[in-house]
Amino acid sequence: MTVREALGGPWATHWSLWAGLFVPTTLIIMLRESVSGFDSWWWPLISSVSQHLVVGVIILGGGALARRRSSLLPLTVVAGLWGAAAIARGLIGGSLASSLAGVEPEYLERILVWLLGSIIWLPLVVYTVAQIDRRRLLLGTLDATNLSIERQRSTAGATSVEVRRSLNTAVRESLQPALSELVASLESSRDRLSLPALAELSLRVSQLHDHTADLLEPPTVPAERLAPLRSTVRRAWDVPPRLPWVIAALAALSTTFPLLPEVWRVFGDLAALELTVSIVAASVVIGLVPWLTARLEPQSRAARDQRATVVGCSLGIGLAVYLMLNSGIDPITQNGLIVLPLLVMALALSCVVLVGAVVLADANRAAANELSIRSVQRELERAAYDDLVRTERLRLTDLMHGPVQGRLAACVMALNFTATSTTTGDGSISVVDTSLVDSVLEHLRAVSRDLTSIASNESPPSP
Amino acid sequence: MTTPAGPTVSVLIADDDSLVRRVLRMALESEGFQVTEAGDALETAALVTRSTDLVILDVNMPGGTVYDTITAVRRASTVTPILVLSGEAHPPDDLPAHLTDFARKPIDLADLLAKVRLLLLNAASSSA
Repeated sequence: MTVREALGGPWATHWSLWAGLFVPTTLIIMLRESVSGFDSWWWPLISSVSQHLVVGVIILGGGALARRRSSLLPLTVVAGLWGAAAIARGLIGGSLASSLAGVEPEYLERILVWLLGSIIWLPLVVYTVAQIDRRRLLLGTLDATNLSIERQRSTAGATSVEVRRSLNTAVRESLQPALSELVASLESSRDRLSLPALAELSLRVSQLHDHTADLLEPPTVPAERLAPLRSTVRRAWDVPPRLPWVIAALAALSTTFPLLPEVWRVFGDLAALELTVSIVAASVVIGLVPWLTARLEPQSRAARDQRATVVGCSLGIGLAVYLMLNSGIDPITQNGLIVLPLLVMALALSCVVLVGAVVLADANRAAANELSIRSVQRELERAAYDDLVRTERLRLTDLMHGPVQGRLAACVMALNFTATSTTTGDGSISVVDTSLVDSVLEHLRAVSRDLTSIASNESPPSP
Repeated sequence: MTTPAGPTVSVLIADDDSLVRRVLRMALESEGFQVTEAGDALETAALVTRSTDLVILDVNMPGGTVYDTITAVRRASTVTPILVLSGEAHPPDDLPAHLTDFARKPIDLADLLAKVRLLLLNAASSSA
């Protein structure tokens, strides 16, 4: 999956991401508007809801309109939608603050903050979600392909003798009852055959002949379609850790930029310094734990999956919380307390999206390669089995051609001829040629005998 | 059967199924044809002569392929039409087009007689 496919795909304008971003954007708005002088705490909440609804119209509505032309949006269109949403947030937030709280709207500043946040976060989140979704689909398809290969192997493991036996049995079980019934009807009515009885017998033999031909035709089996199943999210994340220090540094950057300017503006220099120290300390722990685990316990399970990363992120977030509340850099604990929910959310989210962005793309490439290899393998095994069945079907067709099909055709012709020659010119019925009927009976018995010998893998004598 | 010109039309039925031979013989003889029977490819090659007016030939017979038998018929007479019968839905590949026709078994005997007459008519007009 390329960057363009990830960012221009469905997740760029997906309702679930829009809905999921409500909480973090609301926390940012609450933080920002905490010094705007609104009468009540719910005015910033109304501002947030209004902004989010308008952003929904822009992203979801605009996205749906743009996707009418192509399901994969050009990056300029995606950037345009996200940019328009940031501008809308700035304008709505500014105008509500100005009209309801009587402060300067600061449109440009608000718009820049939202643009910066969008530039840093939206591509990361969308890229990671798209990679997770792709990974779930790849793993699901890989599982289905492996299952299909196993199923094919259990049937393809059948030897030609087994395939032959199964085909023979199927043919015999399908034809023998009808044949026995025909022989019994003809034997019981041989001496009192009427024209309608002859016609009916002829029709039944003809149907049996056609049914035999259908049985020997290779069935048109459509290629097995694999259901597009998705693996669990948990399994999608079961990938080895990579570049812990890069992830830690990027987590620090992505957490710093939307938060620091607002904290500095609202609470001043000391709170901004405290936040910076907390973020840096958290990012060191985020990078250190998986790095140390890989160094000290390279064979452990924690070094092979994301456990160390989860532990590192949890410890890092815990340290950041501790520093915001207890470092004493900013003596006002209340400031740290207000910033905490946003800080925790930003650190946690950055850990998730950055691990996804760094690790999942590579894992998906490997999974896609494995899937293409397994798909080819599946096709080859299927083709080998189809060849085996085709060969056995041809062999059976050859065996049944004269002894079964040829004889049945002869019976149809004989019964038709008997029926025709039994009808005299004036429409009345003359005496049926029983010797011909006897020959038909003998032929049908011979078909029955030959079917039995074919089913027991003996070559029948020629008719 | 006699042609408008006079002599009896002789038909060679070549089929390894005795019931098919018997039914065809009865149907053809009831229409006045003179019938000879052959049960395999070798017998067909032996029985076909310049005076055979038409051959009804089963595709699958012991003793040789349908192409071998057609070659043997053509060696005896280049103008004898051949009606090829088969249980398959399609005629064999590379069946010579000249003075040959194909029918699938089981064939309705009225259709068979119509094909026989048409082949004889074509043969008569091509040799005239």
